[in-house]
Amino acid sequence: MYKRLELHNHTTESDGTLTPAQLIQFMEEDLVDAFAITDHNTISGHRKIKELLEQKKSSIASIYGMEYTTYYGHILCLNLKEYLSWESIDLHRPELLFHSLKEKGALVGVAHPFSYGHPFARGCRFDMTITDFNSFDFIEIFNNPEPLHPVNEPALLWWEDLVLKGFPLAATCGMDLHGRWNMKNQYATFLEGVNGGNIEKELEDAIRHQRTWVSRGPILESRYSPDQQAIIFTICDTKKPGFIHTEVDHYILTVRSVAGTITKEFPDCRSLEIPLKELYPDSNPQSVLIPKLYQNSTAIENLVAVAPAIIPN
Amino acid sequence: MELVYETGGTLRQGFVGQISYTVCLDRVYDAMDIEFTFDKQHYLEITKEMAEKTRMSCIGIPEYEHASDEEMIDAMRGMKTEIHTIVTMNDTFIGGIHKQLATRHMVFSKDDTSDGCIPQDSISGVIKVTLAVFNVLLDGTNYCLKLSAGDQEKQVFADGGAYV
Repeated sequence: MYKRLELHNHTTESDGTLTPAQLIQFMEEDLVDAFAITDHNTISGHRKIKELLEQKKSSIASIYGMEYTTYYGHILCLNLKEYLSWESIDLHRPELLFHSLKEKGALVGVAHPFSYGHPFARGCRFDMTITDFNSFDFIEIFNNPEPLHPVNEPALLWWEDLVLKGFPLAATCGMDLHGRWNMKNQYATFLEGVNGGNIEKELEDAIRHQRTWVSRGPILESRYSPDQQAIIFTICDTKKPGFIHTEVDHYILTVRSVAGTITKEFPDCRSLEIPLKELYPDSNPQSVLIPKLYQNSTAIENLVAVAPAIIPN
Repeated sequence: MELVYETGGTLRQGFVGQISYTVCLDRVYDAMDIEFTFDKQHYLEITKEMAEKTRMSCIGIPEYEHASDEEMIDAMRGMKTEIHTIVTMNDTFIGGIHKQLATRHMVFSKDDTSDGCIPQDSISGVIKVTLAVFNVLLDGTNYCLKLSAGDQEKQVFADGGAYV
């Protein structure tokens, strides 16, 4: 099954307006499978969320994290088991903090890397110089409240460029929720899991193997068919409410690689088979492929879903 | 609740970094209240010269460099001096405040804590309070830090303040 995750949420423990109890209720109402608590520079909400979920015997799962809010950028940290100090953050060596966090088992990502920053708000934009792109785990390619063209589009392109170069980075997104915000038609993160499975482990597996989907609603699956020497792409619906679409909408697949981008229209059956020789025009089956799903046109405004990169074994 | 430590200081415009204070408590307490205040959170007035200086620092930033005078002044009105407060007890994190209140309390006890803080069965040992200064808008920004501790249970007001 696909699980929908909301991975970037704040509560009254930092600057949100929802209490931990209200956050749980809000997530349950929107049929979220698992949500993260990622308050700014505090983990005080972790125990509260744990106790509330135990009391409620809720089926919703929680992920414990924090948004490290530093002078030079925000670092989203998931599966965080203990608070690590960030004040020694080095503008030119963020890897030092990344490594410390990863040694403790946390998943480390860059949040809204191109958010507005200097001179109006210090720290929102990621200004740190990353030298080692193997030192962190994911990039938040869509921070839903941020503007599309100046902030989210460059984040998506940054992730794509790094993945095409072979860096093992997963894509995530989030609401950066600070209140009862409308989540309809906004991007959410999805992963493959099992009913009742350990979400912490499932998230770790998904991030480490770059098996995360980012979507407003439907999932774009890709499956290698050795018999047909092709990859079969399929659109699958999810239970995420609020995805805006009509019967006349048509869907377009793009597959980006270092050699260029292939564009195909989905037939009504919502399944599309593309031969390998077409996907790898440079005859290099070691190339990474990034499939994306659009509605009606390939303008970024019409981007519906980003699938995990297809990475050769 | 008795006052254990009180200090203060003055920040220069543009300072970024930490200032830490370490207090060694003389005995075990039930509760602790750390009060932090600072002034000059926003520009008191925005002159043409200030707006022009900000505009100059926006050159090369596509989102801002073509902003109108009105947009620039509006954006400057939203700017703030931003200071986070982080508390450890015996080198373990027990609370952090991100919310930009010019007067804030960090109350710790077994049952009642301020938002951002973790309940503590008792308060003892070495308390370190770190001011993480993200942005200082104006020269001569004054701050004051007070640490009080006591034996009685406290109740926390909605605004984070407390009484014994």
